[in-house]
Amino acid sequence: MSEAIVFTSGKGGVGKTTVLANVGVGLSQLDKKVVMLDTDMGLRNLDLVMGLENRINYNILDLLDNRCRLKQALIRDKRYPNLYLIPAATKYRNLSGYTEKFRTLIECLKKEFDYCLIDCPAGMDDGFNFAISAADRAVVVTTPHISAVRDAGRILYLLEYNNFNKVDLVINEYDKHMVRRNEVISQNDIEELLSTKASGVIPYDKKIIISQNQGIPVISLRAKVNTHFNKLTNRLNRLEIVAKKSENLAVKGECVNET
Amino acid sequence: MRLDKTAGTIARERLKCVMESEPFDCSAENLTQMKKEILEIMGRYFDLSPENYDIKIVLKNKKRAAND
Repeated sequence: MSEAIVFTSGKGGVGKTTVLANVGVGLSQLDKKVVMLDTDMGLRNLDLVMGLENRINYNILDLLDNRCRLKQALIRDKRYPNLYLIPAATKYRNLSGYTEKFRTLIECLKKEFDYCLIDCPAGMDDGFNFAISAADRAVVVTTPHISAVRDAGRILYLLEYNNFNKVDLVINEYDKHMVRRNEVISQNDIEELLSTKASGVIPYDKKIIISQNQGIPVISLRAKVNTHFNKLTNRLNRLEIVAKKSENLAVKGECVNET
Repeated sequence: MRLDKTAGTIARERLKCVMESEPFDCSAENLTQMKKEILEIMGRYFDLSPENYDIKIVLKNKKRAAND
């Protein structure tokens, strides 16, 4: 069994791509086969954050338009065990006609990969609808900025409307010193306003921007923030949780049989 | 001026106001007014002071939120 997870936020610049890149690396280090898809057409950035911008030959629209084969569009990240990227197109095109093809692509990828991570563009119009159309689950990224919290609220609403029942909330750029001085909204406030518990809180860390400048996801370096990325990765690795549960049940079943 | 409150508290209050009214396509003032009126009606039936309860409106049909 495998899952497609869309990373979305409404507001731009809150860290969708950063969180996705680090969770992607984290999952691949947990021996999962992961493909990351950038659907932010025209404003693609996942390739840059991953340091793979020089290895692009084909993009996701070439694939959907049958201008290349799947193998040609998949960029393998050689630094990690099982991590692949399909970059977005640089030219913006109307995506409404592509939704069905995109769904087929994800279904096809799910046969080969454990996780398909979809990087959603900012906003809530056709790019958003395209990105969420093929996903089984969603991760909503927000920050303690009032605009980001409000937008996250709108997106959570839209996801519910689109029948998403598995949604994880991630609070990024969390500055606990500012929270202590009551200068920004706290995790509790955000959870209350959005009626959703956070699955992960990523503190503000300068190492994130430094590592991105070098094209290396911070999770593979030494940084304080990584305990939080690892925790989030484990939380999102639900396939493992489901597998463990059934394993436990199987073990219990055996015990019953023996006695 | 709101200098007596910290920025975090102001942010929370403003957000609460905005996010509550948004799904209903109505202004925050209208919603506050409506709540006040509901409180008055509730006051006729229950012996409760407004600090002891909260009014929450839950939209069951999310269509309006999705703009179609």
